[in-house]
Amino acid sequence: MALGKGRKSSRKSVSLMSSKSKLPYIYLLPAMIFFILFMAYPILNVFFYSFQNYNITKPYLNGFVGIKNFVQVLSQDAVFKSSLLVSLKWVVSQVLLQLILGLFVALILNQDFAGRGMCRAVVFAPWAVSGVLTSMLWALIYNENMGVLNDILLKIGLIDTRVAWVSSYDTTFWALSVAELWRGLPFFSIMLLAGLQGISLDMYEAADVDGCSRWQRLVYITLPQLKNTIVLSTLLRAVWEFNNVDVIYNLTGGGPVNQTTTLTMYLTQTAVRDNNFGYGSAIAVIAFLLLSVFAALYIKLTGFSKEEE
Amino acid sequence: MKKAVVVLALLLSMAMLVAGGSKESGPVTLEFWYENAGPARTPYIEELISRFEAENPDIKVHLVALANSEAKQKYDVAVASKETPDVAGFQCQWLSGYIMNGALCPLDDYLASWDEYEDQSPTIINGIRAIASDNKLYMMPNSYNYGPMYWARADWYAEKGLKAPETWDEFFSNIEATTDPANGTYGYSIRGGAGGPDELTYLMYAYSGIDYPFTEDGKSTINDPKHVEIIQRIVDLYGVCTPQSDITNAYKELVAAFDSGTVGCIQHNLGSYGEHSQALEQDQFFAFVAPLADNGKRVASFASNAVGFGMFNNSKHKEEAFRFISFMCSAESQSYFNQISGQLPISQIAANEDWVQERQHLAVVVDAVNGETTVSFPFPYYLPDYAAINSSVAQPAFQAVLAGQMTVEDFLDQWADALTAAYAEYNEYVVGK
Repeated sequence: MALGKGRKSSRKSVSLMSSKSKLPYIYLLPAMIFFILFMAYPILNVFFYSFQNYNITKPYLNGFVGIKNFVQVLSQDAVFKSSLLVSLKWVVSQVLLQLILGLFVALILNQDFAGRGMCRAVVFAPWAVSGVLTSMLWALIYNENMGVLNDILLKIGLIDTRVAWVSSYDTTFWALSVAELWRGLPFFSIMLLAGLQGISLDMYEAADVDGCSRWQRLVYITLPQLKNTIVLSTLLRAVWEFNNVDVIYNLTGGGPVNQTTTLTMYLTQTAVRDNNFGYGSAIAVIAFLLLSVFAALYIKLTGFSKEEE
Repeated sequence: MKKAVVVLALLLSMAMLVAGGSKESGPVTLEFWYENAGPARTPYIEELISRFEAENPDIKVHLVALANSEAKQKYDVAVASKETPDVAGFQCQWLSGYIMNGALCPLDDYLASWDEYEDQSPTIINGIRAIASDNKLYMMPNSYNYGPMYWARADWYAEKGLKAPETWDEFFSNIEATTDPANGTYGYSIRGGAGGPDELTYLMYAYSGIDYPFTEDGKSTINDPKHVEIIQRIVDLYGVCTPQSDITNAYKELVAAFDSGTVGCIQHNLGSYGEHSQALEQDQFFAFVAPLADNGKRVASFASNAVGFGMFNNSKHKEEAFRFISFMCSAESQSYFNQISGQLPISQIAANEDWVQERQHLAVVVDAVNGETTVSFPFPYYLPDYAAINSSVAQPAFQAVLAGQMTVEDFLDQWADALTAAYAEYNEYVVGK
């Protein structure tokens, strides 16, 4: 109020400066309160429990155990190792397939053709479907005896006997992958289509003048211009796919014989189903650290943050 | 300023009076979590609640209906965060952990005030008491079940001239006779996924006739040679007389395979009667119990195979909570609910009503329970690790057997080791305390 009114005492100006410097923090306060309540506290709590034996059905064994949970997870737990490998296979295959097919779809949807609006709506529709509904839909498609997939393949003569797509050792992982790909593809298509629409047409015109082929336009203009979008969307998708539970849980429950048990599934089974919250928390901490290191390295190696600055 | 403070204080006091007053004079609200919600049951639970509220105008019941697959996880979180409801529905297998944790309130102090307690089947009540190391009753049952029992396609069996098997050889020959893979139909379906180890346990002890889970020196009997024999016979059916997808079958897949006409026989308790009767005509299916063991015994699960209601220690309205539990377990309520759910009442008044004998699936189970050589197997549900061993050890190992990656002997040895260790831990920390 007193600002700009001429002479002010030095005491008053110090007080004003001090209140001015506090202002941003006051604005940030509501967000910080929510962050502390809903992010920091639960994360710290998981770290706390990872050093505890905490099983609600066995209170007589509960208490501080130091790094025992971590030692057991890292040195004696075969399911942890196999689930980590399944997670890696899942994340790499999903992100790569979704990126490549998503780019392909985005490039098509970026062209001018009749019915483009409807095609875009159809392609983006699976993104609006929840994980549970996706699982139910694909469970029906894959059903060994009533599923439409077996019916079609039998009719066109590609298979002789019905296949248990989500129960057979050879097919279960890839059957789950196709279901998840169907759901995840629209995310990349939307992101990349938005990125494509931000590329200046002048660059393509200049390339045409220089006699560039379609492939050269893609490699030297489109992909470099999409780099930030690709880095951000692959990073987000990798983290989401790592944490994916719904489709796997509903279609196979992690089976058969832990073949589709990802690290997050294993964590859920250990902590939520078997009540071993202490051990489950140790797995959660390891998963958290793995994802944090991956995210930091990925951003560093791709130079994403540098360009943002 | 002073005026404002006085006005504010007056307003606050009035608000507190109103709030306090309503608490004193209004009805008590009980939070009730039902553990097996679904279209086949929830409307009837709601009807019972309406009847209770009409009889008890001083109590309101707030129903939270939970699907069976997620209910226990919700209870676990509620117990861990001490945000439990007043009353909840339970299965016997869930009780041990909550008793150990001190989350559940024993009902013994309230039983004297309930005139229908003496009418409840002592076999079932004692079976539930045995789950607690202090032999107190932490759940009042309203239905009990039986295992192992089977549902079979009456029309398929009639077409082949088959009847309910009286020997184990007949059991397997019926399965082979009703298998026709060329037409996409199979004689049997195995539950390889969630819940499978429970059904396997019923089957093994029924086949061997062994009626104790641990030997005197504390070793699990689950890897008995007779059990190896019967599991091997079941495994031999896989992929030949069963669909390949059985390896990950849980409840809904198992029941769907039967109700859709893909398989001719499944092992499941009375609880799936509602689904079968909705999908099939009454004359298209029938129930039978497992044949006798070679030693002439009928070892089955029923005394500790019940569902019912318990109250949590955190409840501030325990008297009202017990009034609700006793209403839900009265002969009239049990009769009403079990006629719909297709299960058996604990109340002996309800159990003697005509509808029990008139229904084939119930009559066959009642006959089996009352058999001279029938023994209720004392399942070690008191072990806090029992459910986790089934899901984390037995289930993936059985899937490995079906996939041909593990022998039946190794599977049962692994399962037995886990049970033996859990029993030793229980004896050390709970019994020896």
